Amino acid sequence: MSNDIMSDEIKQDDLKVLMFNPFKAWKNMYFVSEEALTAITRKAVETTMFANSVDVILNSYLQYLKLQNEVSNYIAETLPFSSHRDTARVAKMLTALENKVDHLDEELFTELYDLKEDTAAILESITPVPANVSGEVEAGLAEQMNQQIKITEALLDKISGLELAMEEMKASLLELKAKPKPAARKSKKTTTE
Amino acid sequence: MERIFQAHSPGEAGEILQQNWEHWLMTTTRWREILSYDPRPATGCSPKETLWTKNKAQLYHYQTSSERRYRTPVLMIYALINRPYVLDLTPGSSLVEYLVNEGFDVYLLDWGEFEWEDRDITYADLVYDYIATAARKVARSAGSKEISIIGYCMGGTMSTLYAALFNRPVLKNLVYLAAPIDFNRAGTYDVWLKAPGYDPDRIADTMELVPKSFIDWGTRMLNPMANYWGTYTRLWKTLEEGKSVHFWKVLNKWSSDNVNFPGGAYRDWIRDFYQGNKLIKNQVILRGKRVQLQRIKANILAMVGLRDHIVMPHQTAAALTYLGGNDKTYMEFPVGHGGLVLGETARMQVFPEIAYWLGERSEILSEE
Repeated sequence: MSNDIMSDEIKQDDLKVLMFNPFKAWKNMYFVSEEALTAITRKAVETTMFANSVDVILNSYLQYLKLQNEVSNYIAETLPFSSHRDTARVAKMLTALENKVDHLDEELFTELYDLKEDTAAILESITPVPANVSGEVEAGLAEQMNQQIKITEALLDKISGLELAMEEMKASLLELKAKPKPAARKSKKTTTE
Repeated sequence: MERIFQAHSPGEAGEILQQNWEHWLMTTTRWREILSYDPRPATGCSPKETLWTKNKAQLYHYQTSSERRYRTPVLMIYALINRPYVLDLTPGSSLVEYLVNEGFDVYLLDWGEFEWEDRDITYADLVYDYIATAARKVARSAGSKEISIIGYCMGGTMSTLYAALFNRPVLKNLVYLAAPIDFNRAGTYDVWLKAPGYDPDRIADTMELVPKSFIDWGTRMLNPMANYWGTYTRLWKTLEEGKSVHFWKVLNKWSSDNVNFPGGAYRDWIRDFYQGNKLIKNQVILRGKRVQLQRIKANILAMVGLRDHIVMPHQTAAALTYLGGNDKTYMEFPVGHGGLVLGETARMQVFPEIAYWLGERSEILSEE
């Protein structure tokens, strides 16, 4: 192999590279062997024998972990402090609250969207009053329209109120999130990394 | 050794050997420095705002000063392994940046880091509470009734679950980047995860929150020599050859930045997908609804790496067979799993193909 390396070097016309470079030779040799080793290890981990032996170790570890979990849970339950499970329960409640806010937001958006569509449809359906309609009928129509407008305005007020309430809820949630969380006690069973 | 003296006097040869030795020492010292205390490079640098948050997840909306060309927004869904900033790794090597510059309105769902309270999260939760909501937010933000989704690796599988269950907003285009659909003949994972002693229920029940070290080990052991040793010798070689190590540092940061896996989702992933191969059999049921692949009518682009040893090309290609819809495209590239979003092939071939394919199938913004 070193002959190949040397002849490669000689092909280059620079005087400097005529010199045998032990560092380069070592580097080339190393990377060729690394390639071979990579192929060998990849083949080795693909075998069922490897998988089975890893599973034996894994299952023994899981058995140990289960026992450790049981012991530490028992201890955590008897101590007068909140455990990491308790903290997690609170965090889960917050996530559930977020879900609810998301659903409300979705519903509100859908309602608003539908309202917008309906309003457009109403506007389209209102045709100008024909010239031959008497003044009395015209006044009646105007009264009806006024009522519709009042209803729509009331609806819009309600929606604005809802939007405000949601903004406030979001702000409180963000505030709650930003607050420093109580440091969860580290339990060996969950801190395997 | 004869040749040392062929072109040089013994004095010159000694000087050259000395120089080589010093270079060797210098690069080795620098190698040690990089591994021990060099600052981690910046990643995920494209300007963005957070459109929505839920639990630890964040939905990013990427900002641009250039003109938007397409109304149909693009939502990227990443896997639960490692972090999604691989899609926006570093300027010049970022799928997000490329698509934004091409005029797309780009969004990315970052799952965040799962903690103890998230241990019961299942795929049903991820699809219904996260992806579906994110999709609606994206459509609303973009003012579009249609969206496109790019799913990378497991993110592609999750996108499929979403696509089969939700009609609104309309999923116009679905891009798979090395995403497994068929879990049969899954390479090394097939041997490991179907071994008689491997019980995902036991793992999920005992660990509850599957630690990132366990997930990391499983991924790295697919190619132990390259991942545990070769990574570091490659760094030394790069230094020794005087090349830039920035990209190595960026890649190393991402590959070692893993997250915990919720036990509930882990159980689903191994038992239903790898062991049961239920997706292509239409046997996956989420919150009482069956995932039927034929219901997906979106245009499909399936991209695979021919040297991928994590998701085999045929696993992604199965999308063309099992999904509904008529517009399906399949592309192969001579790269590994990460090569579809990292490196020169990604920059020069994959990104332009995605942009072109999406551009042809997205609503163009009319000039007002």
